[in-house]
Amino acid sequence: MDLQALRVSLLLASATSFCLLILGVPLGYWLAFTRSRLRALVEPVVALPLVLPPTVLGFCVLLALGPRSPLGRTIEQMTGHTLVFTFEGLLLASILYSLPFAVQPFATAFAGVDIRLREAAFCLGASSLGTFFRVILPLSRRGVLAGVILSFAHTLGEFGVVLMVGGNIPGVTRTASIAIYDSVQALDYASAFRTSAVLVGLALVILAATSHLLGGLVLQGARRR
Amino acid sequence: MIDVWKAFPGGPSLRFELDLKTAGITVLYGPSGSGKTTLLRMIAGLDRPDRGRIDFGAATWFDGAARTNVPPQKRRVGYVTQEPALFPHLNVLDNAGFGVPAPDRPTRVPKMLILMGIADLAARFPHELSGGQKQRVALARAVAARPDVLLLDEPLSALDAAAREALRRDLARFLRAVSLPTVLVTHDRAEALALGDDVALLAEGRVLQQGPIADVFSRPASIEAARVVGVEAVVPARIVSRNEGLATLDASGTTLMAMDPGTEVSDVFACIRADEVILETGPAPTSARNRIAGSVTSIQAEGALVRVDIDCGFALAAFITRAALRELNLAPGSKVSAMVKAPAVHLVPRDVAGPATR
Repeated sequence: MDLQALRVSLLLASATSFCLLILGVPLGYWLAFTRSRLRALVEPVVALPLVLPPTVLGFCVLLALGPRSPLGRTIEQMTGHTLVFTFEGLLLASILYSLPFAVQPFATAFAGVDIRLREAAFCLGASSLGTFFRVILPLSRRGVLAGVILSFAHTLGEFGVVLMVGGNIPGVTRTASIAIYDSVQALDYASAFRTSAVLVGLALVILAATSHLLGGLVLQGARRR
Repeated sequence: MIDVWKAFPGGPSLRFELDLKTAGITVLYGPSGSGKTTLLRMIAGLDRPDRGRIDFGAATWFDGAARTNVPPQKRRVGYVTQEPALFPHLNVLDNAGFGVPAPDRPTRVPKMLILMGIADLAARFPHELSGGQKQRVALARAVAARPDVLLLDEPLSALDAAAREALRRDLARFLRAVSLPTVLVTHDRAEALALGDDVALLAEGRVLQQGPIADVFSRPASIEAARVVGVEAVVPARIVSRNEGLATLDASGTTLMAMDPGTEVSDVFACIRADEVILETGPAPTSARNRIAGSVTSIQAEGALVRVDIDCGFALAAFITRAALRELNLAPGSKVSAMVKAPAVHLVPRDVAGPATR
């Protein structure tokens, strides 16, 4: 069993979920309530990772972060190295890859809050931000939790993106799913089996805990849109 | 002052012009589809008029020409809807305190709950409350935030009859206690008469008439207005004595008999429908308890019937047949007696208007 790879996987999934909570909540709020025409453009971009092959997404990120792209060059000038084949680069790719799994449950939950409750809060003097934190967020906590868990689980299972962007550096970018692939390639079925068993167990625990917390709403949160 | 236009794509276009009073209770009265709720939402700032302006006292809340549109947060309105929109994740105390600055909550909110008769429900959550209790919380919540005006959109109509009756009485006391200018939307005549000081009649997106409630209900200015209020005299009166289930009323000098409504309130509106008034010219014994002397002011044909308007200290209308008109030989100026049975004098208790708003 590759404990080091499991550690990288868990770290990556936690960091991705956390970043998506910070980034996805405002984005979900905007998607849920904006009247801007830009939404018609942003919505499909957010949903793109749902249908795009992970290798394509990984390839795009690889190109964008590479030393030949303007973005990659800027980062290289600022930090002294490129993000390709680093944990940070992998994190960035994971955030993009799991974006819809967080933002869509968030947006669905926010939009599902009765508009009369928002109007009541407005008439009671609460600002948009105050209404969000005092009314919308507390009433959307199931959807937010579902989004965080889904993006965590989704990141844990990613393979194609990691392979393209992360390379396969033990302890840095080598995740559990890649370790399993390597073990199978090396005909080390016993190691592959042990790592797989841990992942299966982890997935079951996550799903059981979530359905206990939410009353079986995890997949509904993702499916509703 | 309100003077606004609003059109709905493929729907009705509304054009409202009325005086937004800064004292007393103004009723927006009209059938469903007349635009009452939209008007109230435009006052609250939740719906935006296409053009026009809304002034409340010295403040301009909306001015289409100057592109002024004060958001609901800054208008300081207490808005209560038909279905009370309580925050489901907060208990009664926290719901009622939502619009109150945190330091003021311990002093202000419990008082409101007591005033609304729900102090013992403070720890309950909305799903544990009946419809009437929820509406009480919504009212307490709106008033606790110290609004400049209270906007009530059919606050009683979602309740069953018993809860509605109880809340109407308490609402009247509550409104008198807090003495806030109030705009009340309703299509319930008894509610309008029981609570209102002024009324604006609305129909098909227009204001037909606005004025003191008894005036507007007894003397609709147009056929459209009459259609909205029905033909019914609404006479301010006082109960001077009660005897054997009957109440004796003083209606600006005229004595009327009616059934005792059984409330302790003595200020009432006596309502008399035109089709329950019998006219006669000579003295004759009658079982009707009310024989009111007056003179005919106008006679108008209305369908198969004739409407006779009589001045008997207050305005009273009677529907009679053409044959009866010929037999009685009535003309404007004729002296007549109007007969009304005591049970046909419907009393609406007026426990709302304090001396300040009378």
